[in-house]
Amino acid sequence: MPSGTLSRRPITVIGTLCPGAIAPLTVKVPCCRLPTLMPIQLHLEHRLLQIPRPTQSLAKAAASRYTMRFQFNNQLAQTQLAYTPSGTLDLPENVLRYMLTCFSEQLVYQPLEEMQYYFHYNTGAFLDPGYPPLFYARQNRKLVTPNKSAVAGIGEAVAGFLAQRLYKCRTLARPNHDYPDIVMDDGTATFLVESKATVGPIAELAKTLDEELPRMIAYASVCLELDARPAVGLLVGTALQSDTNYYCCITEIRV
Amino acid sequence: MRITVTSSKAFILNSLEEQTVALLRQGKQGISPTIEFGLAELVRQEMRSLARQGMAGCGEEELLEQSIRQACDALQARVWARDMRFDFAPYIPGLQNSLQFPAKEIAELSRTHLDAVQHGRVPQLSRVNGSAAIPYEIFEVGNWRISYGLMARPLVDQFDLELVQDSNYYKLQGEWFPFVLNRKEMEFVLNEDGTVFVTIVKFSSDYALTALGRLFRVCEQVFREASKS
Repeated sequence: MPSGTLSRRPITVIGTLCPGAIAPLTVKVPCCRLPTLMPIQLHLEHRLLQIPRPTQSLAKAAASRYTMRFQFNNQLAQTQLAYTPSGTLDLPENVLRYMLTCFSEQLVYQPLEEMQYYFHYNTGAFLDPGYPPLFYARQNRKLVTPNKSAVAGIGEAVAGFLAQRLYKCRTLARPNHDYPDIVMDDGTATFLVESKATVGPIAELAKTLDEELPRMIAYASVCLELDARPAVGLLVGTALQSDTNYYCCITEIRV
Repeated sequence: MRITVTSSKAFILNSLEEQTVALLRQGKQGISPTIEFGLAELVRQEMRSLARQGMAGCGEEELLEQSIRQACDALQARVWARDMRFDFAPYIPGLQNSLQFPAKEIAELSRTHLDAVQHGRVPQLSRVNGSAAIPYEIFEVGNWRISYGLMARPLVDQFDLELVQDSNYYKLQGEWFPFVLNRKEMEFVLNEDGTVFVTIVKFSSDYALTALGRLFRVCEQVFREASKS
């Protein structure tokens, strides 16, 4: 229950509950002092990759044949691959909840609470009385890991949010368990948005995004040949560092 | 700030219409991946809409076929209106293949939902209509045991929205969608399709009532200045 004093101040709402009702509906609501929610801070890093034709062709080969990846990585190394810090963006928790509804393809209940529970465990608080005593009975090298669906779902929600906010895109399609995660449209280009999320180190996330490059470049190149408009690949990686701090690496690929 | 807001379906149709016409003018052959994505999304939305109307009782194959027909017909009508012809037939086998399992899932959900409503396991969706310049409805997302949130949904496909930074009722946050309309620390999310959502999960029933009242006021403010475009 929210704390604070309650005062009763009636408001009048004009509406109809069913067709034909003509009386105004009066709803009396109490005023409650609301709990304050901290926004989630997104720490952003960005890189833009302009991919020439020969590299696009190598990417298609590398997407099909693993041994071509060496050639592809050599070619790509000639491009500037480092990320540039791009400031921070506040993401209110309630917005993230709604973004989960719009963009997550995971059937997971309350993923934010799942992650809060996991980060709370990581503080060592479970050593205190009242907490379950079983999670630290680790066997071999197994780590206690969070709900993978929750992590993935949050990553997809953050990717959709950033594509909307930063690129003013709208959702064209949400391919079901297909590639990419989200297809968006800003009126001039198609945005292919793929999300990766982790609770691990940012360096590992950056490595995962690099491994995704051949597939995304290849697909963007195919869209350039077959579509009426150009395609932009957006690889959005989210590393959940705590329940209020996420690091996002955005790779923008233009062919 | 004046922004044109379109429903999801209208946006997808508009985008596909433009891209189809552009493809015809450019003379490009082959299956366009973006048109295929957009058509699949339209078919999914049609399936969901038909399933809510109880149509899924006839089977998943009929659900899928009818949804594909409706989506392609809607887009074809747009293209014809511009005196052009586009052959969507090559896209249909791909749609049938990729959407056969979602069709099965949606049909199954429709049957179980109908059964659940008939046996009183889920409440009938009750809606309240607002009275601003743009008609809208408000409904609860959830069931008797838990409410996830309240949603306001405009009942027109396209309209122009006038958003002010500091209205006399809410404070606008964000440079683009999703905007946040903040009223005394209660956050209402205004999304690209014109829906306004407030989460009420984890909070008390008093909070839910407060949220409902404020959602009405926010919608009356936001949609009062809007105009149909």
